[in-house]
Amino acid sequence: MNELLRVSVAAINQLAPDIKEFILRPVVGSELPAFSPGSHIILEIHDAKNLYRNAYSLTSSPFDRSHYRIAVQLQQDSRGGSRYLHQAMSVGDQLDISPPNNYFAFEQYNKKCLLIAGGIGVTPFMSLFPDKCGRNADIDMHYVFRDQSQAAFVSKLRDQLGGRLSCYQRSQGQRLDVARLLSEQPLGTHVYVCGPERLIEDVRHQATMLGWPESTVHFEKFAVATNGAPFSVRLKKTGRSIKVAEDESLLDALHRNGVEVRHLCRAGVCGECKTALLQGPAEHRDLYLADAEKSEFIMPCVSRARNAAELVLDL
Amino acid sequence: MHRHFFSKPKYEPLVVNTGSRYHVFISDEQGFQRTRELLAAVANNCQCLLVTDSDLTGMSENCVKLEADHLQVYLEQQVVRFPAGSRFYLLGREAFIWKTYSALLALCIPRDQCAVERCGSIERDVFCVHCRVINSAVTHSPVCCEGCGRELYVYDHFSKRLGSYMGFQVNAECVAELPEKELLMS
Repeated sequence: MNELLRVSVAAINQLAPDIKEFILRPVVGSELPAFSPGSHIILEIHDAKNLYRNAYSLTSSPFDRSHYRIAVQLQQDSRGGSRYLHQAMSVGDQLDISPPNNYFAFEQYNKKCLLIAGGIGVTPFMSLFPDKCGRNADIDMHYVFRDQSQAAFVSKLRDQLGGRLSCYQRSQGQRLDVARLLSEQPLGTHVYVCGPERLIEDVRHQATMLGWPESTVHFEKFAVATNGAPFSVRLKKTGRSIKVAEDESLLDALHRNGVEVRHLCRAGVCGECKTALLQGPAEHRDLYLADAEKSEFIMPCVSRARNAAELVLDL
Repeated sequence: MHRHFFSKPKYEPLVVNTGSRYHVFISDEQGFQRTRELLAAVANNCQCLLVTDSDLTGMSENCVKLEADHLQVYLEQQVVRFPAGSRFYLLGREAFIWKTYSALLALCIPRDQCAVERCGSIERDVFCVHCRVINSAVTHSPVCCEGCGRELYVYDHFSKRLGSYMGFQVNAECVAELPEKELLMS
């Protein structure tokens, strides 16, 4: 894993009832590493008992490296990370973050960018606007949220996009018709979607049905479920057996037991934590492994054992 | 040359993407017969652009005949009419399909939205690396460059961007001695 950066919380803003914005400045020096629109960082959050590593998209301008901004939604079923940030984190506190990484980069040569955000999935788009999606691209944005408690960034987006922003408030019965939206797009459009899995799957499905080539459909799963039924894992090289609780990932369980596995995204996309799987049925939740690899490898950051079976790893 | 080096495209029969709602076939005369075969598979949601400077008759309703010089402008003006999920199929001489491919990429059409199939003659266009003139329909190497008069050795190295093979001065240290001309294969 890349070396961590020490930052301090310079300000906390309430953007919406459930969403807080944190402004992070470097503890040493005056500049943070450069990043491209769509990037995220991983925060290391220590509460009294546990260490959480949560990924958050950067919402600040890539042209201003004096600070990073992130927006955190309080998750009702939070394992602790977002709750701690909302309830215990104060201005002046310090924490460690990973350098920025990007699995949701915007193509440079888009004729048109169609942005679709669901709820807090709006965040990776916020660093895009100073850059305007590359050269002279058209941008239309469709922003779906439950109600006002989720509606961060609407006025900021309205300032940037004017009439090219369409909002859909689900509590008022407003719906985004993805099939119709995609069918009206001109040739050369790239769609970028971030939000709940259901929204992403809907966009991907409709795009496939309309014959959009894969290279034009970009998505970032905002949250990948890493929890599930508890299971155990045996490490072949040491013979150790480790129990993975229902509310922790396989990767976290390994780390808790002092077994280091290189990792980066914690979302099943980067491939860094790819680990040889020697035995046992895996429930693959990643977006990285090819189907042909799935009998031999597992991505412990998101994937687990199927049917609470035991897995044997080449560790 | 090691066999595992591939400095020119390998062609396979293109497959019509049946998942797509709209299909655009662009062919020259040499690709037109094959285009007709493929058109039969896509019912109505298609357009065919035949690029030729000669008079052809018996074309179906969804075919448009264009002169080669007009293709670029036609694409620039018409491409916005096609829906986002359209697929492009380029058929014909190697130089033709790759020049058309470049024109489509310049219009921000993704690579995986375009399929190509080489049809007809195996003549090559040859780009002179000295004067940058492209020599059309070359069958033998070396070939005398139309631009600078140099005798060019035709390398098996193809530029998709230029739709051409690279041509270098043959026997550069002793240009008076020319090797025998060889027929270019495939």
